Amino acid sequence: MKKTILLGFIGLFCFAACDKIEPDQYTVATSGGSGNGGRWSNGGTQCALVEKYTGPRCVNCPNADVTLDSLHVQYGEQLVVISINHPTGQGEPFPNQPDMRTEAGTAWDQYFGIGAIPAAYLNRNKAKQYSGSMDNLGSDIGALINQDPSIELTINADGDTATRQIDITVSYHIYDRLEGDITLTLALTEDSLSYRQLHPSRGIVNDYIHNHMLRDVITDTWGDDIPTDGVAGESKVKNFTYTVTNPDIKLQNCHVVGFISYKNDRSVLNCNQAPVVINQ
Amino acid sequence: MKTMKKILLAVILVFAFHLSHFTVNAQNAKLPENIMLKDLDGQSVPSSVIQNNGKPVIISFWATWCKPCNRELDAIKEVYDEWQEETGVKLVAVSIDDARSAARVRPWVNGKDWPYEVFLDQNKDLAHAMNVGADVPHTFILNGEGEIVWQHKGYQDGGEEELIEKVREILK
Amino acid sequence: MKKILRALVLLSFFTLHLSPLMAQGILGGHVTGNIQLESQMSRADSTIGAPDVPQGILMNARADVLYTNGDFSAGLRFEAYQDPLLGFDPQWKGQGLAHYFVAYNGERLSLTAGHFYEQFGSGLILRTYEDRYLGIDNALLGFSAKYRPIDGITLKAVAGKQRYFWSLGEGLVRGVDGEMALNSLLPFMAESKLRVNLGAGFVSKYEEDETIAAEAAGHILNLPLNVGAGAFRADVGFGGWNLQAEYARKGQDPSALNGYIYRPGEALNLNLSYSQRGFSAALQAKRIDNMGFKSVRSQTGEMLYINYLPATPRQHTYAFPSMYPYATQVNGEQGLQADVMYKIKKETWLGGKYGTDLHLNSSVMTTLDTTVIGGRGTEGYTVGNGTGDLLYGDLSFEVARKLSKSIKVSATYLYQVFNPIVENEHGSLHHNNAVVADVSWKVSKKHALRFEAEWLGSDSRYDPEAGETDRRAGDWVMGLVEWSIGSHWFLSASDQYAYNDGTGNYYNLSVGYTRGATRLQLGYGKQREGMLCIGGVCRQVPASNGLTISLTTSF
Repeated sequence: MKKTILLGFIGLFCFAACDKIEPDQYTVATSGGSGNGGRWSNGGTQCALVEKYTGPRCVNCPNADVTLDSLHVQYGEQLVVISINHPTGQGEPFPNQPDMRTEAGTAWDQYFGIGAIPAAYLNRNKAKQYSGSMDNLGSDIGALINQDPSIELTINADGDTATRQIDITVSYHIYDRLEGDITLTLALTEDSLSYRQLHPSRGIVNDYIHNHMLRDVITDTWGDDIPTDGVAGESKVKNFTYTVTNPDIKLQNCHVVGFISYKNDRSVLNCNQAPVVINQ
Repeated sequence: MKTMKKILLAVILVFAFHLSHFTVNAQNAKLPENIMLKDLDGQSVPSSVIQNNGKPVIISFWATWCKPCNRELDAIKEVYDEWQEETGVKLVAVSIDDARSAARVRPWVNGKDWPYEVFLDQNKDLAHAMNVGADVPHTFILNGEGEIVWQHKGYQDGGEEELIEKVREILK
Repeated sequence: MKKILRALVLLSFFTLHLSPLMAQGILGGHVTGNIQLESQMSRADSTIGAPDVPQGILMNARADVLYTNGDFSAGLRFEAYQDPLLGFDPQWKGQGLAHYFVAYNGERLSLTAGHFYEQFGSGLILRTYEDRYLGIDNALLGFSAKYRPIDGITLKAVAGKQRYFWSLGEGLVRGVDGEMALNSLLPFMAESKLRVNLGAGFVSKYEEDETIAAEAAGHILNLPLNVGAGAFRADVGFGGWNLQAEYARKGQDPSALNGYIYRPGEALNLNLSYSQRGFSAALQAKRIDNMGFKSVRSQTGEMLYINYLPATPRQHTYAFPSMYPYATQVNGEQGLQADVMYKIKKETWLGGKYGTDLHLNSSVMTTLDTTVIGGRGTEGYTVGNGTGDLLYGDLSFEVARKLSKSIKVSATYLYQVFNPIVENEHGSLHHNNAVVADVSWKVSKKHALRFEAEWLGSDSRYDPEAGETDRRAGDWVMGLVEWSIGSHWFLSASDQYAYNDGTGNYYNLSVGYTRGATRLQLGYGKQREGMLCIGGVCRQVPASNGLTISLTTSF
């Protein structure tokens, strides 16, 4: 009798406290991010640049990817991510695996003094580092992109797979008086790269998909000076031509990421990105 | 949840304050009575079963993975008959092995051929109640009334001599 | 130094304020407690991997104070980490009241409000505990009740949130558990040689929804807000035979730990043993499949585990055999362990005058035979009947013999295979052979000496240029001398040296003083990360180079 009561008690508790989700309901489609900008132009909106330091031998880096992917769902196009391969230690490539380290990425890594990965910075604010599962990064992005931008930029990138040339047009518009010299940095990132990665739940994953990987910096490592009067209402257009020399890079998987920052403290004012559109 | 935390804290503070106004009445702390342990048959027993009909009891907290604990219990085994004859003392070995090795306590005790009463305190309920920190061995001596009259941390070769000395002292 | 002083003042405030009450009766009640202080001054040392410590002095300190009056008790714990010792998560930094409770412990009923530690069965679905040397405290803050309506039945119920460093995890944990001893319940079994104990438990975790991107573009996860786990267990004994079995199952629990997959979790643990005077044999079989269970789904690391999944292989205690300890793979592992102890009788040719102890132990752990079917937002993987990849294997044999009234010797041999993926590193298997000789000599009634010599041969080589950065790699020798004077003083000196293709020379001097329940220990030298047993106490230590001070006392 007592046994029945006991089992009944446990059974009832179980019934009341288990959620069961059917396989076709594991995921739900989302209408996209809550970002209020246009698809490839942020017409008056502030975007957030997250530079994430990662490495193939870094077992917790896939957790940072989950966090950033989830933030992407929340913030849509207003979140721009660059994944930078840490130059040493856990960033070192596995034998016979692609080497994602870049000269510019290493310089940035040293500028931030990255020790342990995963690590991330938001709009190059050196005072705030995010690590592990990136606690607080989401709320900080949310606060940032609700602000009025002082400057905005729009990027267009047309690629040619035969000549491997990308024609880039960057237009920028100043909303608010700027307080110093500014630079424009353009970076080439690639999605859907499949190579070996240590994974916290699956051990060694040979076909882990890496997105937003920094492949090269099109401008100078610390950006090109852009002449401006720094007054509100000013609009300018700048053109770049860049040839992709690394034969492993697939143009159709690339984005051009651009960000404008103050020259003195390198803090980012605004950013944007555009996919490389292939002209047939 | 926050309010609950505050209420609890208040209860404890008020309680602590009241304590300081009570009269002091010198007496040794007793062995906790109602802490549940497991015996080697897997049955739950209250800590009050640790007693020796008015004679002293040695309680030794130990673990299978602890070398000094095993050295101590092995060493006492060799003199245990003499100790019992002389003082009537009983040794109770309380294992703090957790799930990793708890299932091995029973075969361990049999394999070692230890003549002691052995209990398992997997959740360290008794260890916490008796302020055994993280380190074992930790040995207590209880007098005939179940009062804790002496305790010792660690074991060094020959340490059992001091233990039986203390037992003899309380019998005087 | 200032920090240490501040913490000491706080600690002494605790003890002094309560000193008139300390270990004294107050209306029949008692105040008892314990204090522990661990301090470390370490210099950077790149050869052994000890980091720079800009703070100069690191310290972990704690004081537990417990008041008991009859069936009633209340406790407080003050903790200070200024800054935490090397190897501890920096999130421990801080100080304050970390643990408090009031409890009633009646003969049939016990109730606790506040922080508590609880365990259902062996902990496959619930075990909250603390390990101060590992920096783990999963205490639940909430309510707990235990009720024994009649002899032979124990019911437990718990609810609360788990400690997370200096805050609480968001997940709400609720659980019930029941256990019955058939020998007490059924009159006809009271005198039976067959002893049967049965138990079952259920735990549920509730956590609010959050946005987690699925691997499929444009999709997010439909997360279960309530995650349940249940377990059944049996403990059956007959004469010298004993079988302990526990099976647990966990519902869908997509989490950072399992890569946000929806596959249910499962765990099985079987322990079979036979023992008689002077002989014991035990066999353990274990299988874990996606059984990491945390109260906060986005958390990795060692905090906020609701359940406890200990490692199966034997925990070796000598320095070299424990150099490569196995760590449980909560996402999936299976393995076996066998353990045989035999005492050769005294006064025989093999047993000698005092008898000889033999101890044989072996274990093997592998991954599950998984086939991945997807990542986040899928079932994750399927499991076949194969054995998977080797994670760990070892075989050890120990002989111990007392030669005379004052001399004891023991010798241990270990063979070990270690897969670095156990520690989340990528590399080839390490194959190690270790030999340990241990001699203790009771020189006189007051003085005792202990000598230890160890050797480890490995096929792994320390070579940072080639990507092998494991400082344990290489071949090692070690010597140790320990001198104890009465039961109060001890002195010890040891050195570990990697003589072939390795790095590091780890010398160590320590001195300790124990009086009753107070123990003070000073150490100077280089510490390799791992299990350390000196002067009668075993503990886990991180890599460091410098001075350590440890003080513990109970009152």
